[in-house]
Amino acid sequence: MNNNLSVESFVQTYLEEIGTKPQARFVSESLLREQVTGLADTMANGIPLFARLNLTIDHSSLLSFAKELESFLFLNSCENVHSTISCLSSPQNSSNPISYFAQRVLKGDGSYISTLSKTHNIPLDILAFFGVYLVRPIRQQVRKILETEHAFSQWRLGYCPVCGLWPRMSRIEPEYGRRFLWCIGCNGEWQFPRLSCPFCFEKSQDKLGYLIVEDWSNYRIYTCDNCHRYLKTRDERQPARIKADNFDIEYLSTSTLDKAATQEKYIMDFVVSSAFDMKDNESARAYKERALS
Amino acid sequence: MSTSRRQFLKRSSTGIVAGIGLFGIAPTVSASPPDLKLKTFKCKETTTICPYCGVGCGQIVSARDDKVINIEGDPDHPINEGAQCSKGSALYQVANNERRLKKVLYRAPGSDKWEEKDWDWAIEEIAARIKKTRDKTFISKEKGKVVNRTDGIACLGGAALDNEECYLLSKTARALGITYLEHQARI
Repeated sequence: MNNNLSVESFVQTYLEEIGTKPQARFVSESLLREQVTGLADTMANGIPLFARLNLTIDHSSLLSFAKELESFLFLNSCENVHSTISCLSSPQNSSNPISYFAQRVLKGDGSYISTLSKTHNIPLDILAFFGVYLVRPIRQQVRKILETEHAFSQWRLGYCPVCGLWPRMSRIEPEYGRRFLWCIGCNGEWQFPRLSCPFCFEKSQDKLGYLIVEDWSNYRIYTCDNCHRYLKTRDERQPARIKADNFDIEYLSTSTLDKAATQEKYIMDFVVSSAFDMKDNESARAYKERALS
Repeated sequence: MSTSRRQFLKRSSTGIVAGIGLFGIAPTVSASPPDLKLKTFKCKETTTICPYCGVGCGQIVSARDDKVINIEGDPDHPINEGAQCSKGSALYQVANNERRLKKVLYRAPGSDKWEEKDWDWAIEEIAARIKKTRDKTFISKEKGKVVNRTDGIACLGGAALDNEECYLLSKTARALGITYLEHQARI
């Protein structure tokens, strides 16, 4: 693997240049706004927005962006991704494989991504990275609309209200010590209780705790001994070790913490997978009932 | 059909756990040697209520190896939402403070120095003085009515006492005939 560019620089460049370019607007703003406004009520039932959203993605814009992202990955780290786009398969009826791939990622279909990885021999983590950052502009666009149309202040579930993905990091803010979970899908955050597991809603304080890694005292790794998941957390009340302007860079720069967590036998879910089966409202209701109990 | 927690977790772990590879691109800023075992410390957080006034603000106590390492306001508590007054903020020092007394110190009447005493001596001395004061100031009857009280002793409870201790203290005080019975939380 050719590490000409550090991963932090790569993501920084992506966020600054690629993610804000006009071709990153793959979905009509007005149509999107109409749908989002109409679906805001589903969030009150614990159903994330993308579970119900049906997007018509502009294929040529998306393809152009996908090629740019692929080139960027190829030039800077990952030879394996060179033929990613050509390898993307689709059901026989689909004529837009890249759009189909994007739709599957937006729906959090982790099993589809895993199958694709095995079928075409593309490393899973690279395909996941490609998928997450391919659709990031779409998810961010939706989140921005939601932030103007609908407040997230009442959402207290563990998965993202927009994407339905599990959080990848969190932070403890300095003023009152509130915890905010971060979603890698849409780069958004929402408040969540400190002493509760976002992944299984365990509230028993005997099963919850956090790890501190030597020399990383401004981070905590919150753990749950019920579901054995962990969550890296930046404690903003402590002096920062890494000067990161955004969670993406921080997430990638703190792999030492992931190593520490797995060393202690904690796990994290696949980054692409939705927190629950979005076709199954029952899952959402069951999770929410547990959350409110 | 209701979903069990195991079924829910199974569905949510579709595919492969990401593990430490994240996205497969090696970080550069903070990479540690792959075989190095990282030193970690396990900490626990527990919610509690501030022991001081009657507002009852929520707090979170962090502990490591059974020692308190931090006390902060609980941001999810509906009463204080993470805020603390100056007393609550200083609560950590009730648990950990090098200036905290660890031995009984006694200054005799008219003396200008403190002497170290042991607990056995101190408890005996306190009991003896309570009895002496009570005997000296006890009033059995007043205006023909049985009162059985002592005006020479007052009892002041503090916020560091829990409910059970307060109950025992007030029962003991009443049994001795103490009527000057107060608590800091009422002030």
